[in-house]
Amino acid sequence: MAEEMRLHMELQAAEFRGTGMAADEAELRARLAFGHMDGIRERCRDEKGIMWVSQLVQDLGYAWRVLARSPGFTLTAVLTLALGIGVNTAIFSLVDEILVKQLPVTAPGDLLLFHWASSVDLPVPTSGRWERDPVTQQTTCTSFSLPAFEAIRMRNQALSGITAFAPISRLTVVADGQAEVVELGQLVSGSYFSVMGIAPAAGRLLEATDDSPGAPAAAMVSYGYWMRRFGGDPSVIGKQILVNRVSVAIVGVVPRRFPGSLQVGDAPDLFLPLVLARNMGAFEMIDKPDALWWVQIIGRLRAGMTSSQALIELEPVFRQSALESLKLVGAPPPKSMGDLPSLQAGPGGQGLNELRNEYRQRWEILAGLGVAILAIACANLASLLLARGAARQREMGVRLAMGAGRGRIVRQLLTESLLLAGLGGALAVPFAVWVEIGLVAMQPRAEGHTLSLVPQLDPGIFLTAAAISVFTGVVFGLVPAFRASRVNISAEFQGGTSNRTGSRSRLGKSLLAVQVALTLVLLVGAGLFAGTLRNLASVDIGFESRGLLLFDLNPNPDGSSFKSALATDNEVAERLRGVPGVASATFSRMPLLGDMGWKTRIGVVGRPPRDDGHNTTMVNFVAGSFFSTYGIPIMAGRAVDLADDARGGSVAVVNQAFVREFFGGEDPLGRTLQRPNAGNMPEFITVVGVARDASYSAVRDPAPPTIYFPYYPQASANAEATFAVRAWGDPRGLVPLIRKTVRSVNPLLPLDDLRTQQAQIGELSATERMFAWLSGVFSILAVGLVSLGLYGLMSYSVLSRQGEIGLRMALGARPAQVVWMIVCECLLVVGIGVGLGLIGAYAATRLVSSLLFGLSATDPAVFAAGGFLLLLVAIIAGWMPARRASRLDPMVALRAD
Amino acid sequence: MPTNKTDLLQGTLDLLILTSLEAGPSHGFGVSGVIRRYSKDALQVEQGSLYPALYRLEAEGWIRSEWGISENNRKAKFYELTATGRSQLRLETANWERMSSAINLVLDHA
Repeated sequence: MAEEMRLHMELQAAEFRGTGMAADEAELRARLAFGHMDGIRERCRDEKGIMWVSQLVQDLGYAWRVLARSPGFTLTAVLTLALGIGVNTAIFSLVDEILVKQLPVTAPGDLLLFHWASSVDLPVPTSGRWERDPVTQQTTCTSFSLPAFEAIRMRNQALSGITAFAPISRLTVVADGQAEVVELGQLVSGSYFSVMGIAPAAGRLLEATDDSPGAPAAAMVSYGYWMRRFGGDPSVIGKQILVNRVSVAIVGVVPRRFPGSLQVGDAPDLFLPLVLARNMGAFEMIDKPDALWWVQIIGRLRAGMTSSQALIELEPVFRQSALESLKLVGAPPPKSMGDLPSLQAGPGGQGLNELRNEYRQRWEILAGLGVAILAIACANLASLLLARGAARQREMGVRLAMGAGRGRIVRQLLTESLLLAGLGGALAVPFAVWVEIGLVAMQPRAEGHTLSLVPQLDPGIFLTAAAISVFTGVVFGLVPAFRASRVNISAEFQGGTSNRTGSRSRLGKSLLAVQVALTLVLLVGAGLFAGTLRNLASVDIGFESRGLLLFDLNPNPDGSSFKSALATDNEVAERLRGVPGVASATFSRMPLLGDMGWKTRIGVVGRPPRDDGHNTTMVNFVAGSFFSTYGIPIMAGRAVDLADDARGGSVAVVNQAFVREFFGGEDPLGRTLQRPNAGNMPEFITVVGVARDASYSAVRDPAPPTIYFPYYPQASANAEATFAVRAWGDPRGLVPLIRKTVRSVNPLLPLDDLRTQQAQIGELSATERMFAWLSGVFSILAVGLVSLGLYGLMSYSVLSRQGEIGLRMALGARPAQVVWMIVCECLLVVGIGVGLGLIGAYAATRLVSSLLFGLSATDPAVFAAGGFLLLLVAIIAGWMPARRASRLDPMVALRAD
Repeated sequence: MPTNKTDLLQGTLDLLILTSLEAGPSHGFGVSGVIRRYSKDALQVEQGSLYPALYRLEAEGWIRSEWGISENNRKAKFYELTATGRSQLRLETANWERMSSAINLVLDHA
């Protein structure tokens, strides 16, 4: 194009020369006649029709340069965006993973998970989680007995397939001579994988033939375990390994994304046929395995059938088998058919649901936190851009005067905003991954398993980040864009900054008030959780938790020889006591405050059972030195010791709560307790001692009635125990010695889950800690953003009111009065924000009231502290601009533009 | 019906350019020269209007451009009518004649 124009000019000059003009004058005249080349070029480009692309490139380039010129603003804006988008992407990706996503199987919507519901307490032994339906007040449970499953399977017509499965934990696996403890495995019936409808990643699936008695023992490994343990070696197919001392052949690998159908976050490493349950030691102390309700049942609906049809068909056989189960345990038959449990079914596409339901509240709160952060981030950015828009009025005026259309200006500003959004979004992606990993790490261990979630960097995150990016870019880009373009040019060049305080700063102020409100909500949350943590830490748990080191041993995984296993435990404890630096060592069936429990029915000989149904007590089985190692004083009588092991379960120590509840405060020493369904445990127990109350499995609850037995065979057929070691100094220094000691007793015995007692107790409050930490960090960030925003707003306000201030000072106002005026303006904005925030916090904190301890969701001290903090921030943020205002020379101020 | 002055002038300029290219391809300077000569110096097309118009006509598809060598041995962009351009020219000429005779009728009456 340039060349074309140049040629035209040359020819024109030649023509002029032809008329007798001098050469350089001709050229000059030619150039003048031509006109403004760039303007013509632009209009030609306009006409050419590919304008929008080149204009977009031009806009982007200019936007980039503009942003680079104010690095402070750009950095704040990009970081704020990255924070808001990153946190939300992480949280919602995890919400999808934990709450929403279905199992990666064929048609998960067709799967049904069965459970039963009962209005009365069912006196059958169950393994699994019980829940109380809040609506019907019935007890529900997903565990069924094996005979019940068989009966249902025979009768089934409405389902195309039905399968049973159950978790099995702490498997001792020996492969290639190396022993280790696999945290979680899953026992599955023969039809499991065909019901799920998945294909193996390698090898073959477990089938019905593997699940029959006498079949060669086969197993599948998870993809993760295959990678971790065997390095993805294909020769693992056909390899023989020992699982709980049973020789098993690995026949296949489960596909990568399939995590079994257990609780959310549980990912078993081994899949074994149900028929191997007994050999694996799953029925350690159950004398009648047919009476134990321990398997979960999932079925796949046939096409066209509904779940109610399936239930109608299957409920009678279930009830029949329930009746038989009651007979088996010797329980009295129910008074009516209505007392038998009813069969129900829910969606099975996500596997087991109980933990997910527990998590639901937690993740909903997190989602709320995330949305609050995003709202603060957007509000902050909007006010940042508003302020910038105000500061660029002159630039806009010049552009308008030079002929830019309003649409063009809007487009330019919008491009700047979108570029910011793009940069923020790009930064948000690695930030989101980091936050996601952090959030998963902060999740509490449930039932001893860590949450097995691998944060996936899948397209879902990218798309979410992009969507949020564009949305926030448009939302906060439009307002300043439209505002800034509505500029009166002449007023611009004449009046300057004097008359624009009106609606623009009102929007800025209301945005800031909203930010303040949200910040107050976060602050209140942080205060409540911090208070909860403090209260939890100050609970008297009844034993000395400092300086205790814990680890688990499972010397007899297949339950074959209890005697030798117990001997191993005792030997380890003895040798540990001899280690220099160890003050005392002991072991028990259950750790204290380890989120594990054993409950049993008990009665007192000579006293009638209570009719309020509280006939149960918590149980633990302890070795010698238990009470001294844990620091639980014996208030009366004596502790249980090694000699009692021989008497096996016919003596026990009870705690004070037990005495209060079962003896009504009478002296229990020497009295006899009675077990209702004793089985092969001694029926009568003599109380030999009373221990001080100690927390059992939860810090929040007061110590429950507890009975301590010596560690005898019926405690656990495989003598698995949690060891506790108290050292003179820091017990962690003893770890290598402890390992050596255990190895010296049995080199093949894996020492599992080494931790300190304090760490274990800390696990219990992991949720509260997570929320305290998150809300604390977020509220600090929010306060920082709010302070910046306030400072900016006040600075702008001072700038725009220069004339007014000058006038006031000229009329006799003292500097202090000017400072007061500005600070008041600041306090007003923050005051409104605090007011809104108090209302918002009052409503929002109800959601977390179940997590709090020792303080109510509307604790006035916390609310007041939050409000005062923000008002203080207001005063500080307003102080500096206010001082600047008070230092103005009135003459200068009055004459300012 | 053109609604404001610029529309009328723009339409007229298109007509003039298309007419001047009817005789054969030419570059921008040549086109403005032809218009000046034929109108006996009455119509002097400004370069500021000429070139945008040329680009617009090219975008519409009525003329096409080609780089060639000009009479003083420099590279120049030559424009020539396309087939659609020729029919557009006939259309616009007819329009112009219809409109100018209508205006003349009105003026004669007054």
